[in-house]
Amino acid sequence: MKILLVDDSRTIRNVQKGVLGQLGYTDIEEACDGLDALTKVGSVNPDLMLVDWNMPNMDGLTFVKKYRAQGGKAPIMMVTTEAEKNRVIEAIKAGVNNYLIKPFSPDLLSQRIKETLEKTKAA
Amino acid sequence: MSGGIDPSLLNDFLTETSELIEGLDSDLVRLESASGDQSRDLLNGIFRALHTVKGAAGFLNLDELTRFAHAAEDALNKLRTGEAEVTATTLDVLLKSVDVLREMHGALGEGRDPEPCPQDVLDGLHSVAGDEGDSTAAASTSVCATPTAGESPIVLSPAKDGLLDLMASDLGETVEQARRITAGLSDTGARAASLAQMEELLSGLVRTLEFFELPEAVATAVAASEAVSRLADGDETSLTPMVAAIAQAWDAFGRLAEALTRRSVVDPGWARVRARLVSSCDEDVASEADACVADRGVVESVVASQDEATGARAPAKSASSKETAAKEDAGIAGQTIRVEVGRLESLMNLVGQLVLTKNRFLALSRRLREHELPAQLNSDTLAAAGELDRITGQLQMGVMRTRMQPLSKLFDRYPRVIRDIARSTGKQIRLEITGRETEVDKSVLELLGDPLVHMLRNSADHGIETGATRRAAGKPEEGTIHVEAEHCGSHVRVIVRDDGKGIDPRVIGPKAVEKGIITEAELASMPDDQIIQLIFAPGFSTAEKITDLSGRGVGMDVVRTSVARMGGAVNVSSVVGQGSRVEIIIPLTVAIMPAMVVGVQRHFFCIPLQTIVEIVRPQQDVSHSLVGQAVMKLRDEVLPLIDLGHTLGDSDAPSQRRFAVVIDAAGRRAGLLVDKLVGQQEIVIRPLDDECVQGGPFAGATIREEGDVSLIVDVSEVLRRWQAGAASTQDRRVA
Repeated sequence: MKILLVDDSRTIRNVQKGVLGQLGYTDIEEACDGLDALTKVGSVNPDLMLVDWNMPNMDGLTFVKKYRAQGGKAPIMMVTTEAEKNRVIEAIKAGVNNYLIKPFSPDLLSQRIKETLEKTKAA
Repeated sequence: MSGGIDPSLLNDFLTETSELIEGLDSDLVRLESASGDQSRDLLNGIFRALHTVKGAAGFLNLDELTRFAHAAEDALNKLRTGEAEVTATTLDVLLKSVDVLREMHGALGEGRDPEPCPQDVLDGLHSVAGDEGDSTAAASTSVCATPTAGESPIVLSPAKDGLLDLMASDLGETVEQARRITAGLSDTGARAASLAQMEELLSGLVRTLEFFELPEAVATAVAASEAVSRLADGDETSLTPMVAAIAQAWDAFGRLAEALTRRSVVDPGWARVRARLVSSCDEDVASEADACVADRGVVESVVASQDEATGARAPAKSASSKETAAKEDAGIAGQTIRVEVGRLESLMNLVGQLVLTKNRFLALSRRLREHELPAQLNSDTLAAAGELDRITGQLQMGVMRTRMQPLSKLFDRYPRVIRDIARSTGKQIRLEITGRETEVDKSVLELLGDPLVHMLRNSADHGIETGATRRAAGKPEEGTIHVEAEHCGSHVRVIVRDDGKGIDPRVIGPKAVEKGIITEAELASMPDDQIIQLIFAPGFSTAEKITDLSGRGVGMDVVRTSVARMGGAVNVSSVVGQGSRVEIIIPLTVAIMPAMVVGVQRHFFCIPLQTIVEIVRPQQDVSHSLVGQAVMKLRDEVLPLIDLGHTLGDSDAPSQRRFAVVIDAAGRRAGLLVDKLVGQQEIVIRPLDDECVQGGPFAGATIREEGDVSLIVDVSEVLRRWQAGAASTQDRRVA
């Protein structure tokens, strides 16, 4: 189970890595923005991605659009803030499988990951 | 609160945040004069920075910080979307917010819990944001109505449930859009474009409906999407019924949207709608779609197969673009790593020691040459020593370079400083910065920070006049301050100049006398350019009133002291009415420097090479005495001769020194008389803490090649002391 974290904040990536580690996910790759993620996603071939919305160079939404346009299939969870919630629908249209409002608890993350993976497996 | 946070995470956060805060200040100031695209980019960048701070703070449970960053982010969002305007007042609030942020950041860095944000700043932010916090909450609750007949309540996980209102209204909008596009489907000219738009809407719709777990609707959307793609492929056999079927599908989605606003689902006859979408096309798809109607499990396989189809199509066309994108983007990320400063410091220390050891080894290898050794062994040793010398030099350069930082780190804070002064004094001040990219050693950068801000404040506060005064003097109302930096040899020159009122020696002189810095008699014999240097004297401040901005008890003497500590020099020049110019020259690095080792009697001293202009042997016929002061003529110049032995307290030394080391400190030259020249060496400066030598004209101590300890001569201090001494002897003579 390989997870790609896409966030421009190293702190947040580290926090997420920590939480994921607690949940038993240790195979984790990181990208610092959408462009970085787009270049890495081919070689990393993640089973799940956690993507931040607001990032320099390329934002999360654009990344999701481009990734899906390339035929990318990995489930994507958008990590967003309360303020961006009204744009989540936009992200869902672009191909996001689930979303998560930060800050989130390990429990919530775990639950969302399970939810997302189960759903995408069923499809 | 902050007790529970993993210290390394907090550290990361603080590092990251401090970088963001630095950027915020300069971006906000630039925002004031930016327009159009540039302003939008800036706003987006600022928003993003606050957003990142907020996000990370939220994870670390830094409540005060999160709350505050949230308020600031809200305000920024309004500006970003154009709902609020960027005015000077807004910027004041935002800049103050950055200060609050910085303070909170500082508190966290010191392990304290940050103070809550001051109410006035919060109020300011709320007024920018138009404070809509409550109204959105009201909107979301008001939608909760009871389902009407024929509908059943929708059951979703809390996360999805929270989005339902948004989704419902979005779906409503999508339906409206689709209806407009459907009209274009019958028009041959607009058909291609309309189909493309429709396909996009439907693919978004499929994903949205999947997300909200509405399988019947998903199947219908998929069927509609397939119908549209058939039309796009040029199938016009059943155009009219197909368009009608698509329109009907959208009507169904419209009914769904309505039901969803009441938090319930409805079956507007999905099966029938799908059947129409399918019946107007070929057989096998029709049967496939029929199967969907019969079994929901199959619907999902249709979705999957459709996904595969698009998936298979897409990579072929995007593979090449992906490749080029990959090529372009490599190099953007992962090119830098952060290293703790402590590690670099210890590395630098080790390199310093290595340089010393190398020096000793070189000296040893030279001594070997004087002994009877096999020629081969001798030359091998020398070759190895040469190699060691070269590699150590490169290593030293390399390590030094890792510590180099661009001056922009300092300079980027200045627009804010100037703006604040301009706002509070009502002056118009333009700041021009050149040479931001000039790199200096980290230690130099740190030491330079305060003096430069002080100089800048002086220029803005005391130098630049008010608009009216400037106009009366025939100058443009807007004053300009230039900050320039450039490399010159192993030094960096930083210049702060303004076109203000300049420094008037007729004001400075009497003031200095009044403060007891010089006597009337001294003033009388002092040339103007030297009088204005008195601003660097301790305890001197010309501000008529002590303003909040500068003159807080520290004056330009602090500037000079700090600069001298770096082995640099500061010099001021000014033309009354036209402006002033303060020049700082500092070495690129303060840790390791080349020096000339000189001997005075039995003692050896190091004189930093960067202060030495040349070394001459003063001939009897060119050295004279002028008013009791020994001088020598060097080409066209008359230089005072300073006996290093005398200066350093060797009073009984013979005055027949053999060499004059011509030194230059901030444009002032003199010849230092010494007995012996030992040679050039790399020296590593060790701070002095021996009370016996502290206060002497020394910049530190070092270990020489020979392994002995030598003092490093502080040239500007020697000059200063000599000048003080010369002035008093002159006084005695006058008296």
